[in-house]
Amino acid sequence: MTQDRTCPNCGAALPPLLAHARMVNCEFCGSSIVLEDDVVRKAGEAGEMLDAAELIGLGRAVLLGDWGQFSATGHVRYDYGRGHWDEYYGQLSSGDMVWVSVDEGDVVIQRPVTERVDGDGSAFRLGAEMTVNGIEYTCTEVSNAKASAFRGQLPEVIVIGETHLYANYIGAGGAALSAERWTEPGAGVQMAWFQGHWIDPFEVRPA
Amino acid sequence: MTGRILTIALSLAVLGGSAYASWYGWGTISRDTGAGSVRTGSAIVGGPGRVRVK
Amino acid sequence: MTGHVTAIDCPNCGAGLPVLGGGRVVTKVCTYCGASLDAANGFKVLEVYADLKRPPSPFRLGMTGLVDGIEFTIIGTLGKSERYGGQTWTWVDHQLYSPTHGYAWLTVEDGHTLLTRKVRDWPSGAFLTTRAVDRAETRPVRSWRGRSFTYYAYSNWHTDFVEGEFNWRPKRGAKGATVSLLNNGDDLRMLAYADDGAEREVEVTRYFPEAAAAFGVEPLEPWDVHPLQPYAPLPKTRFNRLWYGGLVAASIGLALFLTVASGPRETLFDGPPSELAAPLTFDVEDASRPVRIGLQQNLQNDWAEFELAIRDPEGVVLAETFRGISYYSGSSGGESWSEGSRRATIGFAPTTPGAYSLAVTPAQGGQPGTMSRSQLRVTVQSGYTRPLWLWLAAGAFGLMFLWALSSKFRHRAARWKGSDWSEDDD
Repeated sequence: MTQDRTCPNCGAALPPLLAHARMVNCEFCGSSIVLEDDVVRKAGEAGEMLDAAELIGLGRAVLLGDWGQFSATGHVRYDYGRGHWDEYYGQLSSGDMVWVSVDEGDVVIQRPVTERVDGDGSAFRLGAEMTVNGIEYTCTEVSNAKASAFRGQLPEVIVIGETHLYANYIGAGGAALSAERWTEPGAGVQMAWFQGHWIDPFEVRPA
Repeated sequence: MTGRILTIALSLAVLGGSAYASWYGWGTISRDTGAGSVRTGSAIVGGPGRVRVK
Repeated sequence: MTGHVTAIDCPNCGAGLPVLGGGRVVTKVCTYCGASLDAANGFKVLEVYADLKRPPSPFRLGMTGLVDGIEFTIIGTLGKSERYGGQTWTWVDHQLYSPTHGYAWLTVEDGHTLLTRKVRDWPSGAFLTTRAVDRAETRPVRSWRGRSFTYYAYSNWHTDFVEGEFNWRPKRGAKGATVSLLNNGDDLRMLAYADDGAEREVEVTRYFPEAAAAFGVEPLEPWDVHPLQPYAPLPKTRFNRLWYGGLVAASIGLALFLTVASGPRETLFDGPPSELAAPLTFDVEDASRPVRIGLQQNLQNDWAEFELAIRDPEGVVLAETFRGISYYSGSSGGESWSEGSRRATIGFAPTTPGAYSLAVTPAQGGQPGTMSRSQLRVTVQSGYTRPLWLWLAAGAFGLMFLWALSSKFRHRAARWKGSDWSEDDD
C-alpha cells in the first residue's frame, strides 16, 4: 500500500511510493531520500541528470522486443569518465521487475542473480570465464564507474558519487552477465551479480 | 522508351511477317514447278539427283 | 556525463577536430595529419600515419542521416582492400554513431551502400573461422533469427586508410578475416563472422540504398549485382513478360486459326493406279495462294514412281515432273524399323483462277503388279496455309518470355556469383 510522505529536507510531498521503493528523489529540493522501515531520511543529493538522448525514459512505456512492454520507475546514471550509461528499474507487462541497462545502443535486460556466484576478484578481468546458472560467459569489459545521478524510485540504495568496479560478460545467443564490486565501510568487499539478455536497440520502440 | 518502341515494332513485324508467310503458305511451292522450272531426275531412269531440263 | 567535449586540438598538428562520437570512442585519427590519438587517455598520440590516401566515398565525417528513423552521425572512415589472385577489391567502411542506438557501419562497395550492425545474439554453432571453412566438407550453414544462412565467401582484408573516431582501435595495415554467409528470399542479410585477431564479432549487413538520400549526398551509381541486392525487376522486364507472353498466345492462336483456315482437302482420285486414265481436273479460286497436291499409296516394302503434269486453265505447263513413294519396314534384333514414306506432295503457284489439270501416270515400281493394284489417293488443297512460320515465331517469343521470366533466377545467380565455395573442394 502506498503512503503519503513528505521530503525530510524541504517538506514537499513525495510521489506515492511503490511497494519496491527503497530510495526516491525529491523533485523540489533534489535530495536523495532513503526509506528505512517506514522512516524517510535524506541520504544526500539525487545528482545532476544532464539532458541526453535516451532510448528509455521514466514515465513512458517502451516495447523491449520479445520481452514486451517495460515501464521504468527508477533511473540511475553511471559515469565512467568519458561517458555514461543508464540503468532503468521497472516492470514488464508480465509483472516481473527487471533492470534494463542502456549503454550507447547496448541494451541489456537483467535480474539480480539470487544464487551464490563463485566469483572473486579474478572474475573482474578481460577474458575471464564464468558459469552462472549453467550458462557460460566471457568477460568483455571491466571499468570503474560512479553513480552520478538518479531519478524516480529504486529498490535499493545507491550512493551517488560512489565509485564501483564493473564487469560485463557475454554468453551464447545474447546472454549477458554483469558484476559490480565495491568496498563497504565495516562490511568489506561486496559484490552483486546480474544476469540477463541482450536486446537489439532497433527492437526497443515506444509502446 | 525508344527501346520499348523498338521491341514493340520489331516483335509486331515478326508476328505480322510470320502470319503473312503462313497465310501465303511460304515454302509450299516445289522447286520443280512453275515456268522455267527443272525436274529432278528419277532414281531409276536418270540416276539420283540428276537434273534434266524440261 | 562529466562535461562532454565537443572539440579538441590535434596534439600532433594543432588542427581543430570536432568530437562526434560517444563515450565508447577509444581512437581518433586526425583528418589532417593522420595522427592516431588515444581517446581513452587524454588524446595522446599513438602513432602517425603519413601519406594516407582517402578512398573514394561521397560520405564525410560529421554528416548525419536517418537509419530506420534513428539519427546517426558519420564519425569514422576506413579504407579496406582485399588482394587475391592478382586482383584487388576495395571498399570503404564508415563508422556511424547514435547516442541511443550505438555504433554501426555504412559501407560503400562498387557503388552499393550497405548497413552493418554488430549483434550479440549469435547464431548457435561454433564461430566460423576461415580455417573452419577450409576444413568443412559440406557448405557451412547457420541459423539466425529464424533465417537460414549459407556460406558465401571469406575475405582476408587489410586496412589502408583510417580517419575519425572508432569505438575500437583500428590501425593502418591491420589485417583481419571475415567469413560471410548469405540468405535468399525477400529479406536479404549477410551474416559475417569477423575476426581481427584480437576480437571476434558477429555482424549483420543489409542492403541500404537509401544511404545517399538519408545523408544528403549525390546518388551513387552501382555497378554489378551486389550479393545483398534484392531482386527488383526493371519496368522493362515486367513489360517484356507481359508483352512476349501475349505474343506467344497471339502466335499460337493465329497458327491454330490458319491450320483450320487452310483450303479444304479434295480427293481427286481414290483407286488403283491402273484405273488412272484422263487427267484429273480441279478448280482454283484464289490464285494468290499456293496449291498442294498429295499422293498417298499403301505400299509395303515396295516403291512406286508417278509422272506428274500440271497445266493451268490456259494450258500452260506448270510442272512436268515425277514423285516417288517408297515404304519399307521390318524388324531386326527385336526392334522394328521403317524407312521412307507412303506420301508424296507437290506444291505449285497457280497463275490464274480457273480449272487446272493434273495428269498422274504410273511410271515404274519395284513390283509393277502390286504397285499398280495398291490403292492410290490423289488429293488437292488450294489456298494452302503453312502455320510453321507462326509456330517458329511462337517459339522465338517463348524464348524471350522465358528470358524475362528467368530474370529473378538470373539475379539470384548473379548475387551468388562471388561465392568462393566449390563443391569439389577436398
